Formats: sequence, C-alpha cells, structure tokens
Amino acid sequence: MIFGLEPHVFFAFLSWPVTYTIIAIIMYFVMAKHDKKEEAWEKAYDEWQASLKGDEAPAEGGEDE
Amino acid sequence: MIGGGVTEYVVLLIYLVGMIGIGVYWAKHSTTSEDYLLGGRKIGSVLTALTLQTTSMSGYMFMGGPAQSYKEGYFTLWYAVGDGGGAIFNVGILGKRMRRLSYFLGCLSPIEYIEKRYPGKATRIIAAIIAICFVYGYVLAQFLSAGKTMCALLGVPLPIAIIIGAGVIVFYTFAGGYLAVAWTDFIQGIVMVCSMVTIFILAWNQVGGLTGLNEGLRAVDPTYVGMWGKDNMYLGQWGVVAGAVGVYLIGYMGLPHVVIRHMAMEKPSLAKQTVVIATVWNQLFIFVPYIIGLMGILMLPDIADPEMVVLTMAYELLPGVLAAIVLVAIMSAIMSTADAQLMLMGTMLGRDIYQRYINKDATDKQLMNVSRICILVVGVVSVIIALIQPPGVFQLVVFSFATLGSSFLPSYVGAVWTKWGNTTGCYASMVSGCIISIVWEAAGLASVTGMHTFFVGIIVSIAAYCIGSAIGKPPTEEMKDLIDRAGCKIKIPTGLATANYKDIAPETNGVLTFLKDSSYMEERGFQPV
Repeated sequence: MIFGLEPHVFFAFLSWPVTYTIIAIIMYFVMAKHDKKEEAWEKAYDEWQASLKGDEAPAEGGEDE
Repeated sequence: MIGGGVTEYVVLLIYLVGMIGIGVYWAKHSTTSEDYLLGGRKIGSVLTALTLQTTSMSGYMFMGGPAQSYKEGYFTLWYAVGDGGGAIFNVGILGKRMRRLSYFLGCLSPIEYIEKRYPGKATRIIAAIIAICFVYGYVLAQFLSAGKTMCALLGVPLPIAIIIGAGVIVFYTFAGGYLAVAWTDFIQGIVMVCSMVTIFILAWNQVGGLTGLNEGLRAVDPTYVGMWGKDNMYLGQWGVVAGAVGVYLIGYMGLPHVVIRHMAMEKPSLAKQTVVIATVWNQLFIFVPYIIGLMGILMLPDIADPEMVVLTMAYELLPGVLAAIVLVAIMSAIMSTADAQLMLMGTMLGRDIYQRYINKDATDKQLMNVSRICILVVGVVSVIIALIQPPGVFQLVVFSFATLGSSFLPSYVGAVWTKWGNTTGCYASMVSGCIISIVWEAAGLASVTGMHTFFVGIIVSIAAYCIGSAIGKPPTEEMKDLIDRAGCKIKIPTGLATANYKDIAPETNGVLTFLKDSSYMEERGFQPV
C-alpha cells in the first residue's frame, strides 16, 4: 500500500502531479536550449535579410532580440 | 442557499467593483486595435499562463468536478490526469510556433490566422461560422452559470443575478479589451487556486492526511479507492478512460479562445516559463478539487447536493470572510472563462467579419470601436436569451467543446508542424469535425457506444486533414518558408554561398557571414563556406 492505496491505483492517479511538474521543468531547460540557438539563428537571419535589401537589420517589434 | 449574509454581499461587491476598475484602467491603455484585441502582443509569461488556464477552467472545477468524485470515487481523477497535462501539450506544441507564425502573418484573431495559413475563399467563412456559433454557445452557458451560481449561493433572484454577473463581465471586456481580460484572469486565477488550496489543507488535517482519507474511503466502500468507479461501474472500459484523459490532454489546442493566448505572448521565448507556471497552477487547481470531493465522502456523508461539497466545506472550515471569498472564487472561475469567449466574439466579429467583408479599409479606431460594439451586442443578446433560459444550455458546453476541438485542432497543430498541410485538408478537417460532432451528439451515439464525441470527432477530423492535404494543392513556397521560419528551420539557399556569387553580387556577403558564423546551420548539415 502507498498512502492507503494499492500501488497501481496510486501510480495511475496520484503520481501525475509530480510527473507533470517534472516534465514541465525538463521542458523549460530543453526549450531554453532551443531558445539560445534560435536567438542566434534569428539574428543571423535578420542580418541576411538586411544584406539582401541593402538596409539595416529589420526591427521585429515584439520578437525575440 | 448557503451564503446570503452581509459579509458575502460586501465581499462580492468589492470583487465586482475591482473587476470593473480593471476594465476602466485598461480602457485608457488600449489605443490601437492590436492593444485592444491582443494586448499589443505584450503579455508576459505569468499573465499568459494564468489567462490560458483560467480560460480553460470554468466553474465546473468548484462544483461539478468535486461532485463527480464524491459520487464515483477515485475513478473521476482520470479527468484530472488529462487536464493536468493539458498545458504541457498546449504550450509545448503550439505556444512558440503559433506566436511566431501569427506574427509573421500579421494576424489578430485565431480565425484570421487559419485563413492566412490556409488561404482560400471559403476558409474564413467556414471557420468563422463554426467558431462564432459554438463560442457563442459557450458564452451563453457561462452567463447562465454565473446567474445560477449567484442565485443558489446568495439567494439573489435569477434574472437579477444574470444581469449583474453578465453585466460586469460585459463591461470590463467592452472597456478594457484583451488587457482587461488578461489582468482579471490573473487575479481570478490567484483567488481560485488560493481558495481551493486553503480548503484542501484544512480538510487534509480533518481526514488524517492522504492515508487517513484512503483508509476511511476503503471502510465506507472499497470500490471508492479502486480504478473503475463506485461498484466497479466502469470495469475494464479503457475506451472511456482514454476519452476522459485524451479529451482534456489535447482538446484545448482546438479552442480558438484558448489558442489566441499564444498569439498575445510578448516573445516566443516566454513559452518556456509559461509551460512551467501553467503546469504548476494546473496541479494545484485540477487535482485538488477532485480530492476535496473524496474528502467530502468522509466529512459530509449526508450532503443533499454533492455540487455544494466545496462550499459547504468552506463554511465549515473557514471563518465568514474567507468562506465568502470562496464564493468569489467560484464566480471568478465562471467569469474568467466567459470574458475570454466574449472577447473572442468581439475579435471575430470585428476583424473577421466587419473588416474582412464589410469595410476593408476600416481604420484602427473603427476596428476597435466595432469590436467593442460587437462585445456589447453579444453580451446584451446573451443576457436576454439566458433570461429566457433555452433548454439544454448546459449540455451546450460539452457539445461546444467537442465541436470546436474537433473542427480546429488538426488545423492549428498542422499549421505550424507540417508543411504539407494545405487548404483542402483544412476544409475537410473543419467540416468533417463539425458534422461528426453534431451527428454523434444529436443521435446520442456517445452514450450508446461509450465513445466521447470529441474522441470520435478528432479521429475523423485528423484523418480528413491528412487525406485532404494529400489530394489538395500544396502550400506555396513562401508559406513553407514562413513555417520553417516559425520553427527556425529555414534553408538559406546554399547555392548563393559561392565565391562567384560573392563577386557578382556583393550583397550576398550577408549570406556568407551567416553561413560561416552560424553553428546552428552547421549542426543541421548545411554546407559551411
């Protein structure tokens, strides 16, 4: 028994809050890693676009800088 | 009637005045249509997380959810298992990419987003008809819920309760637009979770913790602590379990009034904080009400109406003012859902109907004013219909959820994750998802087959999206580039990266710099110069 529940019932229902929280935290770090790559990518992309137009890099209001 | 004392009236009055105050404050700060309809795309992660989750959760979590677990035991927690992970799917799959693509396409409404991603003469008409009809059904049901809750808890006559409850929602949404909705949702989200957790902690001590609760339940009826419901009512019905979990795990990705929250995020990178905050909030607010319902079996064995289990516990465990705040929390849960739907109605009618079909050259100011008028008109008409009380309006919530989810989910997910998803697939998915949901519900097939309407609708809708996309005309190269860009996967033409091009066209220096410097590109197998 785990907290008065049979193990399979406990894991079926009450393990999820902890599992979801752990998944969300892992997702945070995975997404943070992607963000770093994407920031570098977006900066390079903007520079490329600017060079094609012969202008300064376009200001993307509201986007990641 | 549980409340009805002076304390409850005073606390509720303070709350309603506070909500109106937020509407008035943000009315002054919404100067453009983007401010009014999408909060100027300046919504931070905490606000996004709470508005996303409070919009998804209605008053059901205070009344219907605990009542179900009171009646059926642990089995009801299957719904919580699905709901609890909803934010991970919703923000993780759609958040960042939808924010980017909607920005690139210049969309202010989730219907406009569908139209621009899947260009076609009928896209916006089909999407708008489905969304307006079923989101309206939702609004109506929430207004009626607000009125009935005030009536049941405070003893206010139903017509007056509907007018007060709906009137406040309409006012602050009308005045402050998306920013007012987001900020009221934020406050409502905090009130909701604090009330629920406070009751939970006090009840936890009363029943002797989790072990005490489970042993107590086993003594009353061992099937309460089993996996298949009281008296093993659902023994071996994995289809019902899959439906209960699946509906809420992925269903919110198809609701336009929920996914518009992604479009309003300040930056795509905020998705990572949003997913954590929304998930933690979910665990506190979703599992707890069901467990409170279980505690009610031991603490309130003779309660006449199980829907009142949370409130009755609040009045037994908390001092008067705090119990009155729980009443406010229930109203918050209803209002936070209703305001988002009302806001979406204004957005769709203003942007997707007025500006698209009636006045294409509408100025920013005109669009904002028309959206405001639409919110007011929808609100007033809803109040009138709610006063007449059409039969079956509560079933409309379940029906609307299934229909909206089935109609839009494949198109929203496919929009950012596939480059082959096209207009034909979008048409097929929206029409088939909508029709199958209506037929399944109208024919009562859900109860006959044991398969939830959404479950069937989404399978048909996904199949239609895939088949339609396979036979339809593929998206344009420009659209494919935008989808790639939304996922930061665009292919810079490597042919440009040659010395010849550099000599012929000096402007390609930027490409060369990009290809030399970007480790991102190298990691993905692009040819470095």
